Amino acid sequence: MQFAPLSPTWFLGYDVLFEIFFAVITFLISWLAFRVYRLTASNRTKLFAAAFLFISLSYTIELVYNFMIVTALNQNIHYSITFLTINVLHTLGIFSQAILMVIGLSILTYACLRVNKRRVLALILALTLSVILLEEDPLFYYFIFSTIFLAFISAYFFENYLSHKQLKTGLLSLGFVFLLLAKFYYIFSESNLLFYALGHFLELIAYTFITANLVLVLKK
Amino acid sequence: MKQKRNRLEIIRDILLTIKARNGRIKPTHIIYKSNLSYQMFREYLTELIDQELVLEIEDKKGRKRYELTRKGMNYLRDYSLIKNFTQSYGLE
Repeated sequence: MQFAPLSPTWFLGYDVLFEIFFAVITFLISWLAFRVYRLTASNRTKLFAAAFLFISLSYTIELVYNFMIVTALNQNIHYSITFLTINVLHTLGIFSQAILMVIGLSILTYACLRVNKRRVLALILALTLSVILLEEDPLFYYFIFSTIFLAFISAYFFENYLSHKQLKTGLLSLGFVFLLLAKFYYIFSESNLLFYALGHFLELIAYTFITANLVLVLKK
Repeated sequence: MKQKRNRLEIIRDILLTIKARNGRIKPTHIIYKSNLSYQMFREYLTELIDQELVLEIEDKKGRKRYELTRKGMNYLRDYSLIKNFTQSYGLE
């Protein structure tokens, strides 16, 4: 299986900067959720902590392989990296990124649906991961699953906003709507590279809203 | 009309009551100060002891006293973070 790079050439490198931001923010959410879990012993909070940790790891893998590809293409640092190596890196990177993100979003959806049966989570994971691992075009299915999960997650955060009607819940709800839009645009990124950049810009807007929420959460 | 307290607020009120008495307090005082029924108080107290937020101490005469643990202190210190986070993420 061979993957073509998704990023338009003018966007190579910038995507890495964006992904650093996404990885840091999602890690911060995971850390805060874990801190709250330690004091409240709430199982759903623990699930949120785990979900955001997987999402953060997914972004980290994505940024690492994108960075390696950029450096390899520049041929300034790693002279020995061939085109074949780039493809192997890309394949491994895409697979691990997709798997980690799908695990993270599955856990988040499971927590948002307030289901208390772990077997339901196991079923969601088995179905989604088997498709990603066995299908010929895993990237396409990864974006489809992410979009479906984010539709449920966005609905959850919108309902939460309606029940509180506060700035912080509104910002988070908007953030997840933009994440949903970003994942939706990524579906078309294999046919048009511009959608990859557009998806990243939408994710940047999403995480800006989520960061604004974090600032309010951390405010005394 | 005053809004009904949620779970996090009740826990904070119980911990604040215990803290206000230099960390050692009788159960009757907690019930009175935190405005809870006996049944509710027992449920919350069991949970707080299980979560290691409160320590139950029995004196030589068999009377029970309660004091805050370090984790209980941390709960009060981080209360606004807990409240803001759980509200934002719908975890109440």
